[in-house]
Amino acid sequence: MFRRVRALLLIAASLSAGCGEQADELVIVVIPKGMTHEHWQSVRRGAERCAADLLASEGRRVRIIFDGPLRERDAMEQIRIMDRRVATGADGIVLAPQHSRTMTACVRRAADAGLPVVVIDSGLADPDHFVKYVATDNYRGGCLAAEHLIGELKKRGKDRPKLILFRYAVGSESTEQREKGFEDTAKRLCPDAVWLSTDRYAGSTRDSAMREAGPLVFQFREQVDAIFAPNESSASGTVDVLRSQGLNGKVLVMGFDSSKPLLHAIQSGDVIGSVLQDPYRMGYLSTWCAVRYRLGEDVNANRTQMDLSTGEYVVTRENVESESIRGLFDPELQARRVIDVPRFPKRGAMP
Amino acid sequence: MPDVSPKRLALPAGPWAGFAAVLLLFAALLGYEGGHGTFLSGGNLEVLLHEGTIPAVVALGMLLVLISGGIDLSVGAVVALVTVVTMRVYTAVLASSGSGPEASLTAVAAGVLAGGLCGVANGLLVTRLDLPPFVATLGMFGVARGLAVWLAERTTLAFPGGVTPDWVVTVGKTSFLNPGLLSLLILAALVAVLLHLTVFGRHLYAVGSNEATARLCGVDVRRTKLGVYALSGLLTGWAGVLMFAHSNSGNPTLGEQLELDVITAVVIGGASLGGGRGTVVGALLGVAILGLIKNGVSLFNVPVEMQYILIGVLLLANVALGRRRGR
Repeated sequence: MFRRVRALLLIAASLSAGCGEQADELVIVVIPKGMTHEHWQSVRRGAERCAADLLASEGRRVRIIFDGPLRERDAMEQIRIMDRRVATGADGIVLAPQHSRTMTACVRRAADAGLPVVVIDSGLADPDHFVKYVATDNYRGGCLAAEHLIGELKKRGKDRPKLILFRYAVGSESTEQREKGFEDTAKRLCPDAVWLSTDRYAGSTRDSAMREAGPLVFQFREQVDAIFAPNESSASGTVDVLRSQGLNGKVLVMGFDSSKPLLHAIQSGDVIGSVLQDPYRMGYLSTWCAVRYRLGEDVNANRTQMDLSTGEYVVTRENVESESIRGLFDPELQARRVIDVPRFPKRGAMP
Repeated sequence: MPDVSPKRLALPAGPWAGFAAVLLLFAALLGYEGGHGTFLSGGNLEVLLHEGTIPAVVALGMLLVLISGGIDLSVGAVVALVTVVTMRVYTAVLASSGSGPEASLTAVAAGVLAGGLCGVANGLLVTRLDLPPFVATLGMFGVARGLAVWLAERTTLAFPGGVTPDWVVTVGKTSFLNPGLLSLLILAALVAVLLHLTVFGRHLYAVGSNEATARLCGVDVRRTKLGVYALSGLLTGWAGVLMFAHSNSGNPTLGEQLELDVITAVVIGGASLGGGRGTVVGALLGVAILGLIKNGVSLFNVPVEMQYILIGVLLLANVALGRRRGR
C-alpha cells in the first residue's frame, strides 16, 4: 500500500513538473463573501470581463480564479482560502471581507508575502495592508433612498409622514452606513417627520425579517406611511408582511439591493423603489486595480486615495425596465457595457 | 501489562485506500488541467497541515467518544463558545491588569476549562441522567451555541484596540513549526498511548465493544464514560483556543458543522458508530482525507459543491467496503 501511494505521488509530481505555467500570465484570485448570491456572480462576471478587455486591448493575459466560501457566515473558511492562495502563489487577490476585523490578520499575511490585496464591497479595519478599496458608497445610497422616498411621500401630500426605519443587524458596517445616510437625509429634508420606530432589527434572512416586521407593522398599522429596509432580505420580508396584512401599496416601502421578486414588487407598486449597487463594475475595477498595481503602477496616489466608489442608483417603477438599470444585474446587458477605468502613474514617479 | 498485539496496532486498510483514491483523483486532475502544480507545492503542504490542525485535535476527542460507543454533536458549538470565552477573559484581564502575557495565559486556561466543563456536563448527562449521548450532546450543542451568541452580544469580538498579541499571530501563521501543529502531534501521541498502553484505554475499548460484559468484568463504566467526555471536552477546548488564534477573534458563528466534518473524518478513519473500534492514525488519516478534498477542490477550481458530494460518496464507499471486509 505504501509503495502504491508513493508511486501515485511520483506520477502526480512528474505531471505537474512537465508543464510549466505561462510566464506572462497574471493570476488574480477573487474571493467573495459567499457563493449563493446573485451579487457575487455579477462581481465574477465583471472580473472576467476585465480580464477579457485586458487581453483585447493590450494583449495582457489575466486569469481569474473565483474561489469563496459557500456560506456568507463562514469567516474561518474565507481565512483558509486566503492562506491557501497566498501559499500556492497568485499575482493579486480581490477580497470581499466577511468581517472587518476578523479578516485583518490574513490580509496582513498576504501583504507580508508581497501579494497586493484589493478590498471590495465591505470595509476592513486595518487600512495599511491593502492597496485599494472598491465599493459602493453606502452612506450616499442611504441618502438617495431618503430623497426618493420623501419625494414620493410629498407627491402624495404627506408633508409630515410617519416613518419606520427597519434596521438590518448590529455591527454590519455597510447597512449601518445606509441607515445613517437615510436618517440624516430624511431629517434634513423633512424635519417634521415622525419616527415611529428606529430600533428594530430584521436579522440576516428574509425569514427573520418577516418575524420581526410582523408585530412591528401590526403595532403601527393605523399610522405608518413608509418603511425603509436597508437590504434585500429585510425589504422582501417587509413586503411579505405588508401583503399578508393587506397593507401592500398603502404603506410605501423603500428597499436596498434587488432580487427578481423585489423587482417584481417594484413593478407592481408594492415597493416604491430600491437602491441598486453595481457589483459588475466592482468586479471589473477591483481586478483592474490589482493588475495595474502588479504592473508597478501607483493605484492609490501614495496611499492618499484608497477609495474607489462604484456608484449607486435608484430603481423605480418608471426605470426598472430601462437598459441602464437592467445592465446592473442582467448578464447579457452587462456584457454590452463599457466600463471606464482610471489611469494611474508608475509607482515611485510621485514626488 | 496491557495487550499490545500487532492486530490492534495494525493500520486500518480502509483509510489508506481512501487516501490513495483521493490522491489518484487529484493526480488525474493535475494531468487534465496541466500546468498548475500548486497543489503539490511545499507551501500547500504547510497550508494543508495548518487547515487540518483544528479538526484533528477535535477528532482525537471524538475518537475517544466514538470508541466508548457514544457520539458528541456539541463540539462545533463548544469551539465557538470557547473562542468567545477566551476573548472575553482576555479583554477583561487586560483591562484590569494591563499585562498582555498574564491576560493571554488566563484567557487560554479559561478557554480550555470552558471546553472541559462542557465535556463534563455532557458526561454527567450521559452517566447520571442516562440520556442517550446523541440527545445529551444535541442539547449541549444548542446551549453552547446560544451561550456563545449571548456572551458575544450577537456580534464578533475583536482584540481590544485592534492589537493582536504575538502568540496569536504566530499560531495563525501557516508553518511547519506552528505551535498549534506541534501541540497536535504531542496530543495525538498522548491519546495513542492512552488508548493502547493504559488500563483506561483497555476499559474504553471494552465498554464500547460490550457495555454489559465490561460491567460484569468489573469495569467502572460510568467513570470511564465520564472521563471520556471530560477528555473530549478538554481537547475541544484546546481546539477552540487554536480557532481563536486562527480566526483572530471571538466569533459565536465559528465551527458550524464542525461536528459533522469531524465525525465523518473519524468514521472514514475506521472508527465505528457502534463503539469499540478506532485508532489515532485512522482518525488523523480521515482528517487528512477531508482536508485534501477541500483543499484540492478549491485549488483545482472544481465547483465548491463538488467537495460535499465527494466527501459524502467517499464516506459511504469507505464504510460499505469496511463492512464487506468485516463480514
